[in-house]
Amino acid sequence: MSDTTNAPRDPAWELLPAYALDAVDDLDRRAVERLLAAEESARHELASLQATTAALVPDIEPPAHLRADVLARLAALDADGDADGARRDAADASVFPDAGTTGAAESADGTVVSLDAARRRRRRRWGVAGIAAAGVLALAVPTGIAVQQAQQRSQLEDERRAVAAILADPDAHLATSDVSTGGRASVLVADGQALFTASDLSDTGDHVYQLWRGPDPDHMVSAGVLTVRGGKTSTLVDAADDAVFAMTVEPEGGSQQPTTAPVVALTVPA
Amino acid sequence: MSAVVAVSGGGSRTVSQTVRVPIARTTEPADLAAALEACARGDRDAFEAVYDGLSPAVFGTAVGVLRDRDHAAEVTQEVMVEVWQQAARFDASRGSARTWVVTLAHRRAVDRVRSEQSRRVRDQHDVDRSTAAAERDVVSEHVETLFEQAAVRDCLGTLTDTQRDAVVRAYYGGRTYREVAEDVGAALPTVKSRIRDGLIRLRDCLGVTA
Repeated sequence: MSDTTNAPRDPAWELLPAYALDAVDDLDRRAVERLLAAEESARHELASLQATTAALVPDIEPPAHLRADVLARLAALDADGDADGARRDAADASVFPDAGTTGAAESADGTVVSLDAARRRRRRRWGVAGIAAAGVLALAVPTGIAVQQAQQRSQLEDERRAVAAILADPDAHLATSDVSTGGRASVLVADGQALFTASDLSDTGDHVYQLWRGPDPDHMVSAGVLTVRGGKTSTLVDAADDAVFAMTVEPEGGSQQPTTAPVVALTVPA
Repeated sequence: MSAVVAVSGGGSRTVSQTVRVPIARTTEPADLAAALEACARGDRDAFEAVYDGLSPAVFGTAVGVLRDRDHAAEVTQEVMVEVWQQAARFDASRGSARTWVVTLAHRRAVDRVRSEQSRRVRDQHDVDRSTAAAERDVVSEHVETLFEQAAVRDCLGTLTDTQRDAVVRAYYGGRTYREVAEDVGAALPTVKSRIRDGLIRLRDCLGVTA
C-alpha cells in the first residue's frame, strides 16, 4: 500500500496512522494537514486508514430520546439562523451607502485605486462583516469550481489543492456578508491566498461582477472579473497582504478601477 | 437482518449492553451517502434517514472512547447536529458515510477526554497516576468485549501485543502517541512504529480499500 518514491518523503507521512487515530498533538496535526493539502496520495492513504479505524467501532443503539432531541436542536438552529440573517442585514445596510461615486485616485503604477472617498469615513464599519466563525465555514466550500473543460483541469487541480490547504489551515480567517444587490459572499484567507465565493447573485445583464483586493480600502487592485454560473462564483486569488475584498458591478470586460460602490466588502484580520 | 448480541462487561467500569453488529445494518452504504448529500442541500427528511442509519456508529464511537453512556449521548447529540451542518463536506469518493461520521465522532469524543484531563490536572495539580493507569487498563478489556464481530476480533488478534496495546490506548484511550509512549515507558519512535505497523496490518487484514 505504501508507495515508494525517490524523493525524500515528508516526515508527516509517518504520522498519518497516528492522525487517523486522533493520536497527534496540535503541532503534528498541522504538519499532517499541510501534507494532506499538498498530496492526493496522502489523502488516499488517510482515507483507507480512517476506514480501518471506523471498522474498529461497534454500532450501539443510542438512547431513544436522543432522536427527538437532535431534531429539536436542528429546528432551534433554523430559528437562530433567521435571527443571524436579520442582524447581518441591519449591519450591511450602513456599510454600503450611495453607488456611483468613485473618487478613485490612480497611483504611480496605475493599478492601485481607492474604492471611494465616501467610504473612508465609514471604513471602520467594514469590520462589521469581518467575522470568523467556524460554524459558517461550510459556506466557503467551493462548489462552483467544478468546471469541466479539459484544458482547465490541471489549473483546477492546483486550485483544489490550494483550497484544501486553506480549508485545513486552522489560522484561516473567514469573513462573510450579504451582497447588497442579492446573494451572499464569503472570503477565506490563509497563507497568502484567498478563496472568494458567492452564491445567489443577481443577474447583472450585460454587466459583470469584478473582485478587488487590497491591504486597506484605499489601496485596492483588481482581482479579476468573476465568472458566475447559476448565481454562483468561486475564485482563488493570491492575496499576500490583503485584508479587504470587495465586489463591484462593472461594464462588460471589467474596469481598471471601480466605477460603482461595492455591492459587498469583506474585511479579514490582517 | 442485523445480528443482535448481548455483551456483558468484565470489569466494574465496563458497559453492559446490546451491540448491533455494523456489518448487517439495513441501510445500504450507498443510500446513506445519498442521504448525506441530500442533507447538504437542506433536505431534513434525508437527515432522519442519516440519523437512523448512522447514530449507532456515532454512539458506539463515543461509548468506546468515553465509557459513559450519558457523556456519550451528549457527544452523539453534538455530532449529529454537526453532521447536518457539515454535510456539504462529505465526499463520497473519499470513503463511506459511516467512516465520515465515525471520524467526526471520534475527534469530538477525544477532544472531550482531553479537556477533561486538562481540567483534572488544573484542579488537582497532580493526577493520581495509578488511578489513571487503572482506568486505561479497563479500556482494552472493554474494547475486546465489544468486538463480537469476528473479523475485527480476528484481525486485532494478528497484531503483536504491543501493537494492539498502542492502537487501543490511542484510539479508545484518547491518548496521543507521545502520551502512549509515556504511559508504557517506551521510546517515541517505537510507539510511532507500533501504531503505524499495527494499523496497517489491521487495514490489510480487514481488506479495507479507500
